[in-house]
Amino acid sequence: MVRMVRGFWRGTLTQPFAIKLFKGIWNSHPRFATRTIMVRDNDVDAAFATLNRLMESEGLLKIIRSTQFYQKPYMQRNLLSIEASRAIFNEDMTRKMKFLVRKNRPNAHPGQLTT
Amino acid sequence: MAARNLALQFSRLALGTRASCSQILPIRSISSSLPKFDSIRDNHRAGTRLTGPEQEIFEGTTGANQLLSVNLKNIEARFPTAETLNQLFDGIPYKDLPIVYIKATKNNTLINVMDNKQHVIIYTSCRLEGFKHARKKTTIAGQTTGVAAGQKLVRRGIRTVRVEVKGIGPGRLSSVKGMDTAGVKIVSITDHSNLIELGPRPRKIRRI
Repeated sequence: MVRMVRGFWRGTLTQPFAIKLFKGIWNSHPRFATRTIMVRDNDVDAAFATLNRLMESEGLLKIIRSTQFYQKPYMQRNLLSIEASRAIFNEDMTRKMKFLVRKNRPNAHPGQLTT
Repeated sequence: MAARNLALQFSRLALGTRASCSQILPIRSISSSLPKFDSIRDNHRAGTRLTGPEQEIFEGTTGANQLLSVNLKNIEARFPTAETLNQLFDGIPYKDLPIVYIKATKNNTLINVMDNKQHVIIYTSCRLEGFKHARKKTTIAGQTTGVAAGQKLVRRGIRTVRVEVKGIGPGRLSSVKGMDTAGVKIVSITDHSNLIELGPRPRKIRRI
């Protein structure tokens, strides 16, 4: 994969990596409307875990992580190829798992109480 | 290096009738988050040294990795809405609640509490609580700061607050928890960390 990426692209990406909309877009959102989670039953731990998980899945923590240090072009290329190969692996693996656990009967899991 | 490892695994998958999952998987787990290296030299050594279980990358980001199960059912009900602003918490509408601004940097934790008119109520930091130099950047220092801020708030008769956290540092989670243990009811947690998208070029990687 590394060779593939190197074959057609040897440039650099401008950093920090993000979708450039306009400067200070995060401050233009109303406060306490976005990136906010209400704490239930004084369970701060669970609320924080949820917030962090959502930030991770939305890619916000990735922005923070990737803007800590400048990445040299060879690192950019490596990251790109790792992401690509990871996507290929995941796609194939999900397909394989679906194939392995397939069930061709009216009730897929007889006797199973939970889903 | 990691890419080369992956490529090795692929070649094994393609070639190996022998290669079973037990052979492939323990070599390098495929995780969603990339490991953070302290030094550029760690990055070079990355493939040669096998690390243990996936380490927590930033100390305040519990729950971000896939190891901890997080209940995301009915998550929509836990987001604030337009009605939340006027919702009463201990007799105070949400928009009038005091705001706790926590700045959790890499080296320090600063807590600043303001009322809804942006007047400062209290201020503390790790240094004010007696932690010096490298001890400021520990989770314990963050927790102590949180507890101290909570006690100060309780002394001033403030028992219900909303929290706004900025930055990913050791005090991110622990200071909020400390404030909770001091007897302050936390209504909501907001993340307001800086997400630079057009900003200057980041600093170069540390060489240790």
